[in-house]
Amino acid sequence: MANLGIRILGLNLEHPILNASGILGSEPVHVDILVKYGFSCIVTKTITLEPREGYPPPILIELDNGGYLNAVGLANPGVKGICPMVERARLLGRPIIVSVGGGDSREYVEVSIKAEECGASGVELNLSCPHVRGFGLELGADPSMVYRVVRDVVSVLKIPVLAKLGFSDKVIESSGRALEAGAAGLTLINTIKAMYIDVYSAKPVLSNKYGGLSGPPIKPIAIRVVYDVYREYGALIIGCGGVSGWRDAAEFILAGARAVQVGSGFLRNRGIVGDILAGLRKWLEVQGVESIEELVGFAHRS
Amino acid sequence: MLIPALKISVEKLSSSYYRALFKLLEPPRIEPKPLQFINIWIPGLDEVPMSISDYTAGDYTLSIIFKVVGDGTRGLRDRNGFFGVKGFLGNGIVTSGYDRVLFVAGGSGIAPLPFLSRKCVENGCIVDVVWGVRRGDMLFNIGKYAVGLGEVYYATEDCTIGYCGKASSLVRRIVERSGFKWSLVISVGPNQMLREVCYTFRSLQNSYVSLETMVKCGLGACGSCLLKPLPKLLCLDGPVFKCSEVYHILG
Repeated sequence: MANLGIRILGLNLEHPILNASGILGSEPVHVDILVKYGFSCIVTKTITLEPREGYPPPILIELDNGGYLNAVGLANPGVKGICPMVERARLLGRPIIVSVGGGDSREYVEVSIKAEECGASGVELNLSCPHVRGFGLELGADPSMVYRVVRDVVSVLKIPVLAKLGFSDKVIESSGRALEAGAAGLTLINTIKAMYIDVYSAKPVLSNKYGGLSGPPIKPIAIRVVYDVYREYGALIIGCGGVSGWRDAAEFILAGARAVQVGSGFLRNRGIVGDILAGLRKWLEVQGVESIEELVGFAHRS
Repeated sequence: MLIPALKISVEKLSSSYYRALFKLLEPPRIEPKPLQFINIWIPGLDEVPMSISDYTAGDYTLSIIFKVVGDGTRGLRDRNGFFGVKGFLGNGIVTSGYDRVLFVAGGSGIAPLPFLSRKCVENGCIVDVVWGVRRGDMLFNIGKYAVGLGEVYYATEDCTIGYCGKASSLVRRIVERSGFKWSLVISVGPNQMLREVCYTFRSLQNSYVSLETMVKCGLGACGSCLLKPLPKLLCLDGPVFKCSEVYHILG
């Protein structure tokens, strides 16, 4: 039987499929739902120090090219929401990574400390939220800021730190700086800043006008980024962006990702985790490989 | 998918309710089911969840029945021109296989009846209706929009029209008088009413409720419509549930 188990961040995961941050994950019962649907490790919604209401609707639209555009506005319960979710995940026997947001380095540090105190398995620094001003995107595109925030968090934390970066011209450089600052790994990539205008009313649809594009349209970009960053640094990468079936997951793994996050794909297909795992098992058999570990970064072999 | 929609008309039905009719400018991918809902976008203003009141496949017209409660619904009433329809959302209900259906509505819970009745007629079943409101002036002639209805009972809490009291009490009285004659019961309205109707039909297998809660994204991502403490989202797992699934969270 093909082995889909994978080791990341000191955790032995049953399989490499995690949920992407932003899919539920802002309260304990959400954790139940994510576990029920089979994710091997839970990633919370991005948590900021104080609670945030987020933007008024529309906050999410499905596009006719298969993508989704969202501007939820980092709605979250604040740090007080972390412990209940971590406790629930522990009760259900699943590791949990807390996605951390912040307007400045100090906020990232404080939220991360809270996550560690609550017993989270790790933190994922959201350095790339594309739709909240001052929360990420400008920061993630500035390699020296990435270095500073990651270093500040890593210096006070014992649990592993992931840096989640978005697409920018400097994503390779920012990845390198995050690793240099002590990040245990990278989540690549976040949604891409985008817009959708309704041509009848002649208005942008999202209440925030700008949103983050996810889903199949961004997958080839994400694959390219994972491929380049893996080639450059050989680091731990969690691939994210447009995974809607096992083939997409396999592509990320070949490009260099050790695990894969699914967001939009889960909105369209609640049974996606099972479908991906079944496909990956067959794929391993056809490839004549025992363990999925052997195929991480396999597209780079000469 | 956001389907562009042109508002054709709006009419005042009673002291509280309005009905707006839209034409979808692009054909939806699939036809709606009764009790599914849409999120309707009022450009530049808001997006609000609305029960599908009626839908005609041939010319893609869709109607909603609503109460004005805020900026969004005010926009639905007062604005003209283009809107956007996100949907069709939720699970809905399939009426085939039932001969006689009881639909119990509290207040604006009456909204989905026209489409439900139309589908019922297609499947050869009859819908009896119990509709309760607070004041008699909130009622309107639902028979004008629904088709092939059986018996229609009204209940008003101000005792001006029909039964004096709540819809759920009227349902109990009807059952006491003439027994169960329905193979399917669907209730839409305030949780307290749903709880009481579910209790009356506790021995009936096919007794359903359609719930309401805050819906933001409508697609299962944001988790705003979580039906705590159940691990269920209204927008995906609902809005229609068996009484037995949700009884303990009602009221």
